[in-house]
Amino acid sequence: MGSVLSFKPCWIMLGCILIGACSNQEDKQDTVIAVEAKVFDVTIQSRTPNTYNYNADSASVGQEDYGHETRILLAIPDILTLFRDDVILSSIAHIEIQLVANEGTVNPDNIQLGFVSQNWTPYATWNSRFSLASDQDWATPGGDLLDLAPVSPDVEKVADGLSHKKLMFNVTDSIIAAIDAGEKIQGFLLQIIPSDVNAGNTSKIFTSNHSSAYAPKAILTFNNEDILLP
Amino acid sequence: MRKFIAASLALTGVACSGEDNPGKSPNFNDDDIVTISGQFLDASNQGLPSTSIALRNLRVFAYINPSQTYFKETLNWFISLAFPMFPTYEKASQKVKPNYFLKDAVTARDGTFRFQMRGEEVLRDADGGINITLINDGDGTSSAYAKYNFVVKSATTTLDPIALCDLGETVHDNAQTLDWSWTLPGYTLDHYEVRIADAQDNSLLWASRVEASATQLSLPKSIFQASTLRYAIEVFYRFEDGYQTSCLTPSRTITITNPVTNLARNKKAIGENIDFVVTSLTNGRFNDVSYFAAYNTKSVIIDLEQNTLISSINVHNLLLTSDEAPNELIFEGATQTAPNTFVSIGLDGETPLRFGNYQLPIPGSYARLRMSADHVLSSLQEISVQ
Repeated sequence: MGSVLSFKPCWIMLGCILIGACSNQEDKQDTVIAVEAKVFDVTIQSRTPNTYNYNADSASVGQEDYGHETRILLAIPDILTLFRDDVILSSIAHIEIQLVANEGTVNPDNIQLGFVSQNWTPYATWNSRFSLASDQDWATPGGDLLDLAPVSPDVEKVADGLSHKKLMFNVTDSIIAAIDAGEKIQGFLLQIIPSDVNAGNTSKIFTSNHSSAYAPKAILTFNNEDILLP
Repeated sequence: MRKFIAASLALTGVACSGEDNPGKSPNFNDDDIVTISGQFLDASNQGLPSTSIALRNLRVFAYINPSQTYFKETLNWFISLAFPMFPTYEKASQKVKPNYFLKDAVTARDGTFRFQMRGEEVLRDADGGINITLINDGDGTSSAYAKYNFVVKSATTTLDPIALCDLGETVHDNAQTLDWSWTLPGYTLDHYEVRIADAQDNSLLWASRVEASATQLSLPKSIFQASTLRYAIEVFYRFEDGYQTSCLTPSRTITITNPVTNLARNKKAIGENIDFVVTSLTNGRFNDVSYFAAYNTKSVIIDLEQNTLISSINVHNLLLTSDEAPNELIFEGATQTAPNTFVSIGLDGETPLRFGNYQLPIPGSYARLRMSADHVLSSLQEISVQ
């Protein structure tokens, strides 16, 4: 093994050995196959706990004056029905939910996407999953969550020259954990945790009624790089 | 949302087509035995005995095809609105668990190994391929180690030999440092790369480049918040304009018996043009923090809260948006009595490294540290101080 040439047989054998520099680099080499833009979202507010609002273009999520709070309920049906055994499309390496905020005053650790445990409708309010009928209240006003750790986002600029931020929530592990536990995720709940490390405790988030560029969406990344011809 | 409410039921699915997998595997009966065998070799093409390896049947996600199911899902949604017998929207078929499994084995004296699975065990992708990954260290979640990928083509698969190298590497757990050493291999090489991960989840904690002239590496222990580490050494040689891997050591683990506290652990940070207090830089979680680029940040300040004697600063996973000159890092310090007056600490023109260990020429006592770059930071995972 005194030279590159003499090492060649060994090098050829290693030709099929993939060596990743680190997981981040590998993730970025995956191919994005699908963007799911079919989104249902509802803004719920403790200030008006019985009023539904699926019309808002944006919502000032977080803590308002006098202890009131605004949250967004989010459903992406094609994500919520993942892992059926009847239709298998391919291997998914990464499931990411993207939202756009118009500012960045909240520490990303305090922007949290929780996992809703009960089904809900566009007529959901702070108090109720379906405000047009009785006896449909959340067990906990503001939305019932599964016992899964909420996810905080990575943040990117939407574009140069803009202050808008893209919030990217990696929900892959949480969805897998829910399925392992035999639980069904009924949606996502966006909330902002007040903290003294936030410069402000609210963030304006664009909803599905806004332009498609800023509307919530899910990005599915498929696991192609791991498969080679023998 | 209102777009959906106003929409008619004439909804169209969104095409969502995956790339075809390159291989398709034959069908097996449930009781059929699928055998995969091969051999690991060392750098001298000799069988590598007692090497822990793992077989991973690629995790396969079943994913709903939107073109087939979106209509049904949305129809259910509207039904749930139209009829008071709510809820009906949730009536979906059962999900299946994510599919993957691992099998472990240790190579025999001649480096050979064999895995056997029953036909009913194997998992397939959408095209019917049984995707197998062999990992040389017995852990299927790491991306930092050698992986050999293939698709099963028959009930019996015999692989070509897979070459690994043994550098006889050792690591010593000293009072302040972890010191690696290894033997010089007998073939041409340009440099080594030593990668160190948290053995619990194989998240990358550190990577160091070591030039060919050296066979050792010393790192401050405060870099490592994990008590058990997994490490491997990759050997590169120069080939034309780039580098090629000549071999990779099977990874090994070490448990740190007397860890050294990261002096910056759980301290707060401030970033230029970032409104909020940064809490992720020093939390020891080694997350992939990529948001710095969103705020056009060239500098960060670590607030140690009180004067603290420091000897080195370690920067984890630093990436900049440009590498054009000038491209240097400057580290400065400020004392508790003058927290906004930053002075030189002897690290005034440092080369930015993705994983950089910067030793102060003279240890000093500071309450705040500032790192400034010539370019905007696009990633910075963690800063540790010792």
